[in-house]
Amino acid sequence: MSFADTLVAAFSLVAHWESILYLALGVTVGVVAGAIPGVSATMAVALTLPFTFALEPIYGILLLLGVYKGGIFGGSIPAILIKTPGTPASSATTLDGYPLAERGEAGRALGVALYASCIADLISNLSLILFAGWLASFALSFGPPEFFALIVFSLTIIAGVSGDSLIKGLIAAAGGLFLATIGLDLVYGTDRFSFGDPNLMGGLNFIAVLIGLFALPEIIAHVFRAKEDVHDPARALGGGWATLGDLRRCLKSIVRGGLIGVVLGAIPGVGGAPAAFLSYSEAQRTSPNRANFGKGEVEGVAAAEAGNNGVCGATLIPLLSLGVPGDVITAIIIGAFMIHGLQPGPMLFVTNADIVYALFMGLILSSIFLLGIGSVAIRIFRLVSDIPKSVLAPAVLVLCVFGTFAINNSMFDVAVMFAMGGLGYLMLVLGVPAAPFLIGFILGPLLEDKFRQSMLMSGGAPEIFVRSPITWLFWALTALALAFIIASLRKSWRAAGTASET
Amino acid sequence: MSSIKLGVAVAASLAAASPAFAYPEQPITLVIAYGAGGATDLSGRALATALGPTAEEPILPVNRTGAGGATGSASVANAEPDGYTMAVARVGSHTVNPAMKANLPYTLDDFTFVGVYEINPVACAVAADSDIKSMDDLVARVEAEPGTVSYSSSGVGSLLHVAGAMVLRIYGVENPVEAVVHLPMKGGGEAATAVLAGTADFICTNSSALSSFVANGQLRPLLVTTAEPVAGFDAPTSADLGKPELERLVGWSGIAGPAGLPDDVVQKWRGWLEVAVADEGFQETMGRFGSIVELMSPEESLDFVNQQYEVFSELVNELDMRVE
Amino acid sequence: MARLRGDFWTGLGVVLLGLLLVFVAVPEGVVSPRSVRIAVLSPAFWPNILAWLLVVLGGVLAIRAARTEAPDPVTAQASSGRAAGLARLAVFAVGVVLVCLFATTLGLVWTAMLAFFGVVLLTGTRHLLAAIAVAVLLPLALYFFFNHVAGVPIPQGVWVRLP
Repeated sequence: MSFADTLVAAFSLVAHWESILYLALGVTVGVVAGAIPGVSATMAVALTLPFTFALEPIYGILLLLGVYKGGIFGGSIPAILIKTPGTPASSATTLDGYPLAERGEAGRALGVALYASCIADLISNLSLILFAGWLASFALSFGPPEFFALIVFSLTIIAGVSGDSLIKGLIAAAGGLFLATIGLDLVYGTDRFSFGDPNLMGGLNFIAVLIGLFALPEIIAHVFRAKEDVHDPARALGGGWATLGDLRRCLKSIVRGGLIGVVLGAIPGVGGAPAAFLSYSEAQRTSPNRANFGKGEVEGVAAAEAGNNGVCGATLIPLLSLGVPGDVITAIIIGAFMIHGLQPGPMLFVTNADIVYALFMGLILSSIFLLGIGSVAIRIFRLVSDIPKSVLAPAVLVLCVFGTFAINNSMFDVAVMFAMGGLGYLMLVLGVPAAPFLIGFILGPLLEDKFRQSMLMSGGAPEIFVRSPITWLFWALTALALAFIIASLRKSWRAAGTASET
Repeated sequence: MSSIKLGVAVAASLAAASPAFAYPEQPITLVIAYGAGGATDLSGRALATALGPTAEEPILPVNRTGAGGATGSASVANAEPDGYTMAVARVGSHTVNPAMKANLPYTLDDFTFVGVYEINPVACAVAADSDIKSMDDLVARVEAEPGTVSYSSSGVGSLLHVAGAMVLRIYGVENPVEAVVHLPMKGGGEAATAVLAGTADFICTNSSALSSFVANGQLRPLLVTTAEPVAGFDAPTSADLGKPELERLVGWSGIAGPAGLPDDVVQKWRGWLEVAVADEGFQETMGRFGSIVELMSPEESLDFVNQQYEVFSELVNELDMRVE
Repeated sequence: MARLRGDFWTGLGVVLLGLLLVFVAVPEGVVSPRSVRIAVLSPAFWPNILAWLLVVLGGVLAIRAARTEAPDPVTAQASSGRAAGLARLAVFAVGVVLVCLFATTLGLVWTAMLAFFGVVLLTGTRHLLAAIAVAVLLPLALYFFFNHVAGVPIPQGVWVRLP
């Protein structure tokens, strides 16, 4: 079969009204599910999986991909409106999205998030189609030492999301890293802080920690203040829509975020949240609106959303070209391939090329669907910002309890969520930022595991950490980032010095 | 905490509703102790789908992951034995883990086995471009340069962990724990990727986890542990190699409830399982994973699981692999 | 000055927490195997590093706060509102514990309704009717979504079972 024949066959697979329908259905389900706090994109995909068993392979896979993409965008809706990331990847979106919503510009923030998501998604899909083979071999050259260097570099993000006190950001990050050590030891399988409790052996659930840390402090603060928000007319409007000017202003950050997402997505095991944070901190470092980041800057929202949606298409690179899952979601999608007797990997391009190209077409289509379905969803969901706080706060609480329970059918996770809420509120009161804590918690296990795996590989010799050009690259980037952080610290100290003299 | 309470709640409502025993009266939770999309998950969900038309109430598969299957298994072990909380028992969580880990919050006695329904062969493989072409090459390298060969696993106490050591032990390597490096990864997908990327040298795991890599020519199988050849695996079998001890190393899945499950419930499940394993769709799905559908009675299942446990225990003691 | 003094105490608290981790939590909570061939591979290696890091960072924060004499932009809240707020937080904390303990016995749906009312009672509202409507409808809607669409069994409780 020639290439043209394959394309025709692929087109005839996609051009059925059923494929279009399932893709649209998937995106819709994803956006709505992602918008419910606690129902992450991962969970939405996992819940959809059994429904695909009875479908034709291509419909089933398009449905799942739709849910995946929709879910990653959908997560930004509650992140912006109620400071509760619907999916871990959208935690970076809360940093600027929620302040915007507080100012009555929820509509604008959501609009920018949607445009950023769709553009980054498109970039990601195109990278998948054009560079899959090349990026896959890059991904395979990431052994534990390369991974370790990448994670160390990623930790420099902390400086960008620490707010006004770097030292407090570092404390938060160290706390997050420490919390992540709970659970069975990777190398020896012994207990670490689990004290024989099976619930603790698996470590604290990531989503429970996330929701507790971000959503609950707002609710607790509301209980403390007990004040109905003075009905702010600006906030009540839910506010305007993203303009072309906004888009132009953010375009650079969106494209860069998309590319960061592509690179991190192609490496198995990184996932959307680090990509979003990295994209955010890069945007902050280079933006002319630097000072406004964290206080409600649309460019911050755009960068974060571009970072996490940039991952979406790219995680399919290791999946399709190597048969390797890039994250939990693609692990589920691999399951869907297997259940239909398709074996992802290089041979898929030979044996089922029509399905592969049909998938590519479906992916491109999904970016367009996301734009349409997303803008409808925004128009409905932004009404949430009109709900008075005294009703919204308990409603969010109930949503969080149900969502957290559903992750593992476990009240233990709900208890973890509440405990983290208490910690999050304490941190809020003391002015310790939550984002570095979360980054520490996400990257902690990777940092430790990759370090120890490297040590096992080398028998304890540290030279392994400089074994390849990729490690050199990331060490150099780390050094650069550190130099930049120190330079900007000195500048701010000097500024503070002159300010106090006058 | 949760599941105990859930179990108590369920039991209490059951008692209140009807004094006479009628099972099932409400949906049954089927706990899968491993992640969505994995081999256990797909197997458990395929079974739940096949049970659908037969069982009087819906069977809801639920993923409860963590600690290499220990968290989910413990939640079932601690649940009320009323038949409304059941587990997909698996070789890792129900034989290797108990044989290896002193810190496991449950033992095999905490479960009632109602039926093992699936057996999958274990295969060992290396990367396609590896200079190790056969088991003999592998053993020769391990003995010539101890400490330089590594194998990947999905974590401490997994089937993969014990399988790598067991195969080498059967091949006469004196102390495989010292001679080869065990590289624990997070999950089976990462373990296979590690061999693909050259991070680890070989892997021994369920054939289903390797089949797509073998079919794609990315991994080269060195052996399968069954006497019969496995479809798609161009590798010597235990019979070809003349090592019948390898046949004791197999993966399996079954259904188990908490200890003390009433006999009515066990019999009910036995009947359901007989219908489910005959289901054409189920057989087809299992066939794709290279699994052999084979239903054992509750008694046979218990014997089988205990026998497997003995095999692994013996190895663990001999090699001092026990986790404190 | 309140914020800076606050930072001083925060730093000191972090130091104490770190020391507690180093000398109590890590030795008690981390089980190390009998022999660890490579020292950096010990299960306690990372937790120890991180705990010491907390000690050092907390110390730096405390010392800097003690030495800096910048005017503080944050002013303390009025003390009467503060006491009432703290009282509400205490009630909220008790409520949270009750929810965690009894949600599975009572049923998550009913617990959620009660918790909703509890929060509304605690904070007061100008939209009582809306609050009541949401309190009743939201948990029911979530129950139907999770139980019947997503296939997640929500705890039903001992007394009243929903279809």
